[in-house]
Amino acid sequence: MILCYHKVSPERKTPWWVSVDKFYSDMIALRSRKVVSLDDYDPLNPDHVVITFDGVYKNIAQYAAPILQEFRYPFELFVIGDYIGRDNEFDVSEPLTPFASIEYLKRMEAMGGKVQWHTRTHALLTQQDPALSAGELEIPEPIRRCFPLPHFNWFAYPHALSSKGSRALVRTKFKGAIACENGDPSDQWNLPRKLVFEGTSVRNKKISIIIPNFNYGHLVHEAIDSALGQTYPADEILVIDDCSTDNSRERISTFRNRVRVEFNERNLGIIDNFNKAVSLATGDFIVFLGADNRMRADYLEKTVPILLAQEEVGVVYTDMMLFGDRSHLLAEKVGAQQVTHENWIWQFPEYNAEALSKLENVNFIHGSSIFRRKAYDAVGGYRKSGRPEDHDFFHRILMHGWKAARSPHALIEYRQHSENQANTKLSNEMEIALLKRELAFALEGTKSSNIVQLGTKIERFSQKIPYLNRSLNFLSGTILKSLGVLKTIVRTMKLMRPRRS
Amino acid sequence: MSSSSQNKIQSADELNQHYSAEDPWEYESNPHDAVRIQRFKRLIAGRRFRRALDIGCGNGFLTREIPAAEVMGIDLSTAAIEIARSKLPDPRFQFDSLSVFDAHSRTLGQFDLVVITGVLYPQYIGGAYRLIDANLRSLLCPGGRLIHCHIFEWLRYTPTLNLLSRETYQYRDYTHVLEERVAE
Ligand SMILES: C[S@@+](CC[C@H](N)C(=O)[O-])C[C@H]1O[C@@H](n2cnc3c(N)ncnc32)[C@H](O)[C@@H]1O
Repeated sequence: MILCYHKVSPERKTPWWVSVDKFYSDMIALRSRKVVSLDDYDPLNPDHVVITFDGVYKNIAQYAAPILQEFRYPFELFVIGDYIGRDNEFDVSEPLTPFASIEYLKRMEAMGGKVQWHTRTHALLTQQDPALSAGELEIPEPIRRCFPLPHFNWFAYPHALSSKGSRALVRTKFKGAIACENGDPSDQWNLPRKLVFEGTSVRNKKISIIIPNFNYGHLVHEAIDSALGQTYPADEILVIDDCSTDNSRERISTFRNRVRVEFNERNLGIIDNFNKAVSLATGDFIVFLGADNRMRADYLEKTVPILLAQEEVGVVYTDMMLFGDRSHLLAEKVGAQQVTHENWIWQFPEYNAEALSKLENVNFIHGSSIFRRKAYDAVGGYRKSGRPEDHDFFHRILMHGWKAARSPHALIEYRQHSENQANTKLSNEMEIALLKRELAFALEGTKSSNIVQLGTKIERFSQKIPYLNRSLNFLSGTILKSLGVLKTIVRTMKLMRPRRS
Repeated sequence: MSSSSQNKIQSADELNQHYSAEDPWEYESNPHDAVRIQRFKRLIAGRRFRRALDIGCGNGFLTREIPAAEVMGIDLSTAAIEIARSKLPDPRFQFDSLSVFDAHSRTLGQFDLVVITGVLYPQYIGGAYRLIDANLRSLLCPGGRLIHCHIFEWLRYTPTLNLLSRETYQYRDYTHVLEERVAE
């Protein structure tokens, strides 16, 4: 697979701009494959990936290249010769944006980039004028001197389009050439490549976060929020309620737009519920998060690359932070380090033969460790035993021959609270805030059904907590207003339809 | 993480224009802002920091409340920084015009307290929270504290630091979240 990016920047001005956050996520996802240069690329090897940039814009030097250097990935820079160091004036549909100068290209070369040719002026090579094509393929001597071989071995067609004639000409001057989706993997002078936009996924492994809940209705929103806030997002968040008797159902439903929700008809108990959850989940990597706990925002960012890069690792465990008014009790027992009187960092041993030999009796692979579905399948999932289900499960995975790895960060925040600590007022305020935010998300998608659902929920909520009425009145107002806006949109769309056809 | 296709960031010029008024968001007169200052002061009551940084400090409305031997305030808007300097001539405070994108320990050194309030929104950060996150982490010394306060409905970012405390309360037509986090 050859990937093609144009602009990478904090801002996105048109669909050709990809955010820095998205680009970084893509680079993490590529840990599961082999990123190679075009010179080393085998189009028929599904593990091979090449990263290319067309333009090449200055923002690639500012934002993408440092990330590529951090990952030690090679990359290819397809320059439009006459525009090096100038603006993209020829591209009338795009805002003016500077291209990288020779100096910036040199800097990127030092970070692992190779400079390749993308014509002199980005002219279409489909016309039958061989003189034009020849001129476009000519690399001026001063540029050639700045980037001698192995630079300029490869060529990319402007707009990915070529004619028989121009392809024949390219053959005489370059080692190979690339188009876009229209290419052919068996044609070295017309290889396919994938354009990457903000919504394009380059992942080949899926991640599921599972939040099993039983009667933690007053806390579960914090767990869900922490799962939604991951810097490397999960592909799926599954909240599975094991037939709670509190108001969990209603509270979990708030998040319906962005998480999968499953309500058990009857209480299954931990083991059966966990196995059911895994059977529903679609991820290759799975992590269980207790409904009363939280994940740090970089939980997946820190643990997933280990699973992506090391196939022999079946489970990745982390350190944890204990929090809550009873945290000191457990902390003192296990020798955790104090941060405040209610926050303690509990570090676990590094994974090695000695640790493994003790695992039978001392569990250091906590229940919110992330595991590979293949390892789960290999040992037949969770089962009833004399010891805690997670200890038993992970122990069997390691006995089966899988390796474990530790991410030495407190990526799980583990609640140790007394029953009377749960501050319901605070929790409610937080929930209202979450409701409002979910409303904002629903509005972004402009799905009126979601908004109506939320509206009903908020109304029901408001009857229960009269002291928050003010904020709720405001919310209902917003919802009514948004419904108005939506109706207008729908009306406009209806008006537009006949014109389109 | 908005999926809409555009995501523009306010420029220094736009912000400077905004600061042609000394107190563009009317913090000094809005009772909600008095409340957020009270909440902040209560959170840090009885503590004293060595070196603190306020990122996106604006005219210094909150900066002046930070109990540290040395307080640095930075903002992208030069106009805001001038107002802050004239309002707080005390040498304990130092104000500089600098973007959060360029705020890194390489140039500023480390702090035992970093404060950032009302800045981590898409209109200022776009889709580059990761750069901000890396900067914040670099600026904190081990065990250093990050205190941030934002309109929850607008916040699309969670710092990658352990959460020590969180409170939420009504702020204007929204909900504010005030958090303290700790560096590794
Ligand atoms: C809503 S105000 C908050 C001011 C102040 N922190 C407070 O809480 O009272 C946002 C501030 O962020 C500043 N700002 C916006 N983008 C910035 C950037 N890239 N770097 C630093 N400051 C920025 C603005 O100039 C403005 O002063």
